[in-house]
Amino acid sequence: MEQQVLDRLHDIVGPDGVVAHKSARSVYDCDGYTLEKAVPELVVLPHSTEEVAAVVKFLNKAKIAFVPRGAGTGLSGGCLPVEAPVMIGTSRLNKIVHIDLLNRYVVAQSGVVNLWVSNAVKEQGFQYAPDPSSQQACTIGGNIAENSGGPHTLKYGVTTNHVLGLEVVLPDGEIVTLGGTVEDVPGYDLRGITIGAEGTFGIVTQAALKLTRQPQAYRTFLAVFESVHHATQTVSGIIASGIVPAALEMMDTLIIQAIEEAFHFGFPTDAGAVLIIEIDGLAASLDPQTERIQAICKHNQAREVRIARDDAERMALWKSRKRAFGAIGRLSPNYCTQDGVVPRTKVPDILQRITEVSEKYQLRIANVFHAGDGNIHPILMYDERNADETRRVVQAGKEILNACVDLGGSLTGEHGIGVEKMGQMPLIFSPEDLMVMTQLRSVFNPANLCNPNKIIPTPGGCIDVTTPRRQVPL
Amino acid sequence: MTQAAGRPPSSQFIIDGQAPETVVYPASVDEVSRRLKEAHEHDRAISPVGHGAFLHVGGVPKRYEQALCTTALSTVVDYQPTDMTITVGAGLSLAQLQAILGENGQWLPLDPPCPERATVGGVIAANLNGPVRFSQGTVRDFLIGIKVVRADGTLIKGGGQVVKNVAGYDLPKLYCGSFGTLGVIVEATFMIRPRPEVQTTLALSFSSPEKAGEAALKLTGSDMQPFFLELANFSPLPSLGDQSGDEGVYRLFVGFAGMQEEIDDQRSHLRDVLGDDASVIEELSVDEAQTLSQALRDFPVSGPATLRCKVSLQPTQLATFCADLAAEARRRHAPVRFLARAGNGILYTAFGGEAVPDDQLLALVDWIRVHATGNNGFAVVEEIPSALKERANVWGTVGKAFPLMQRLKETLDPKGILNPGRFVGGL
Repeated sequence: MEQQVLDRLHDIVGPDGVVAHKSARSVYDCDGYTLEKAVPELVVLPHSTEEVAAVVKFLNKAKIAFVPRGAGTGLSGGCLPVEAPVMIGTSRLNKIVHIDLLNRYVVAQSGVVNLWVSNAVKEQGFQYAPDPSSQQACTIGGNIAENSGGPHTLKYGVTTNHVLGLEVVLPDGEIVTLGGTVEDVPGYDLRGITIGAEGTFGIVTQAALKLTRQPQAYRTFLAVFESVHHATQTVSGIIASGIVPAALEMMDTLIIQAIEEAFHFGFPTDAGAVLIIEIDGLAASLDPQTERIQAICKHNQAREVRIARDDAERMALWKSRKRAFGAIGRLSPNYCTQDGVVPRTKVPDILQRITEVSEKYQLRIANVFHAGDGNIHPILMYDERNADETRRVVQAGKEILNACVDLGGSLTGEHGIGVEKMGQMPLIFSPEDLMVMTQLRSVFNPANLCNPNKIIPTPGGCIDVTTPRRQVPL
Repeated sequence: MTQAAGRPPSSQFIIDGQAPETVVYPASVDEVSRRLKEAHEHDRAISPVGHGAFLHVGGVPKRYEQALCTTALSTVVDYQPTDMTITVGAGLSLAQLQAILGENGQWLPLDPPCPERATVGGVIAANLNGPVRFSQGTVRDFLIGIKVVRADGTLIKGGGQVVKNVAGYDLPKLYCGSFGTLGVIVEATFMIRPRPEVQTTLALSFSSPEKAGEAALKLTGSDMQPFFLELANFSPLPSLGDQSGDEGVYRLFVGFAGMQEEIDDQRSHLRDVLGDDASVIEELSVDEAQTLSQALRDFPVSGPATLRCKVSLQPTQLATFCADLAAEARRRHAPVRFLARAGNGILYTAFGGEAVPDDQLLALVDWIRVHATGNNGFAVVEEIPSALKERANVWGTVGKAFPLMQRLKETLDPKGILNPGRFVGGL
């Protein structure tokens, strides 16, 4: 990095806002998608929206590409610096600016951790509904970029359903407000198209987030099945019965064993599959729903249906579920997870295909996923020191996603396209669809300096993902 | 090239006194593409129209040569009750859609005005919602996939047919409320929900908007789950009282829906939550509740009015705004009825049955806009005599994001043939 650039950035963010030393930068070489790595040439950590704007304005003028980064918990390489020398981290934009319980919203800076928002209002009986499994670490800005979900989005919706407005630093350094703190803001819903744009439309610095009343009561079930088949039948049965559960999560044998070994919750390690079923709402509604759910589980030959006795047990159950990915470390040095989606009734078909892929490529694949909305998360285990196995993982992942598309689904439910799935975008989008997306990006990001080489494959170029895919100049 | 063949226009297609030269009724997506391609080549201005129920909303067209009526695009493309998704042509009416879903005990949880005359495409393009938005959400929360024909005739799609999907940019959101200016919506996929088993409505009366507003906030801050929450200064039903808005009684209509157990429980706890705030709580009969729901739903377009404004505020600002507005309207001898989505901060106002002079109308618009924007809110004039539209600046200003909107419009409709002049800032 040229000294001139370094000096100017120093001037804007101060010496403590620039990370230039190689060893300090190297921790920014990937997010939760570890198949590809690239160390940024420079990391800047602005302290305010104005500093972000000044940094971006300068980089835009100097024609230096940059990539925004929150906590780096993304799973598709969304903040991997690919031909983007400068990384702009939001970790210092970490204040909750305003809490308005009567109007049920919070204004938070984009580096605020997801869980902090709910923690800030839980005493008063409110919550921020989107709850990605990484919610103890992931940031609001990252959630907005990826339009993140979580187990409870089945009933409550994903990030975009809970964002009223955004403050964004556009790729030319202008600060704009998209949406607001009221509903139905006139004009195009630029907030809506910016959410989920994976940081390619600018850098979100602040957001107005809707708060949801905590439900009066919860009931959380652990239903144990001999086979995945019976568990999936139960999922269909519950959805078809007219119940809208707050969450409906499935885990297969491999993941149950890993979680049990890690957290000792008391999962039956010999089960074929378990479902975590949660209903919430008015206390008066839970008894009749409980009866229906138990009947559906029994009908599908559940071996056992446990109900969490108290809040502590409920929290322990969710903690195990949300840390499932961490538990995989016990089984394999590396893993890669997919995030395909199928229509809910096609869950049995996709699980069958995953089993076939696992056999074909001689890979261990564990399944822990949002069964209620058909969003699968097969975890493909590998050892990155084994080049052949690594290649097989990439190939197997592709095959699983192709199967999702064949079944009428999508490449990603909540993790984003990032760099990982760019090459597969043509499976679901026509050249015309991709063209309009490129044009939309140009509306916000005409010089394509803000998070380049993401989401949209280069027209005509067939991107083949192997690892390491691309060498970035360091 | 061939001249655009089409039928002569009927009154259904008149926008601000302007009739199109021709009306076309494409019966397929291909035909929409062909029509737009032709129009694009000949630089012919097109307005997509369903049944024309909401054409009074929006700015005066800069040009209007052809109406493209979508009502023949009314097929059910795919309906999977067990997946809880449906894909339909944009010309299907919302009432038809709900009837199809109702056969399986399901519905699209939206209740915009005039469902018989509101098409799916229109509901999306005009972002039309109703009372249940409080508990259910708005169009953008249910639209998971969309097909659109661009100004040059190219068919594009965004989203898909699964309920959770972040592949590519979220095009469905972009088209919600885009007012037909970015393309012609031809197909939509929605996620749907089970229809509530039972519903009930309670009518609460108060002596001031402040007291009614306070009660509404107590409910939204409680752990009760109202289906809808509507605050009115008039009675939508003759059986409940004066319908003019002059009576000085403020009503809160609270809907509950779900299982019988949930409704019984909430009904019995309503007093505990509200305390002595409400003077009267009466439960409506099933018939009354149904008529009331329709009246609340249709209020933004029903009854006589020379001026209608929709105001976006924060819920806590509603009551004071309403009280001040009522005083201002009295001062200007312009009787006003208003209905607020009390939990959402959305206020619909309707002024006058008899003629209100133009300068008074514009003064009222000005008052509303100044007071709305002063509260970080927005005001849209949804109905006013066409001659006053420009001076009233019907959409208001949208601030620093406007250059982005301009670029967006220029990118997707470079020749400006789609509903030109009808949207914010004359887009």
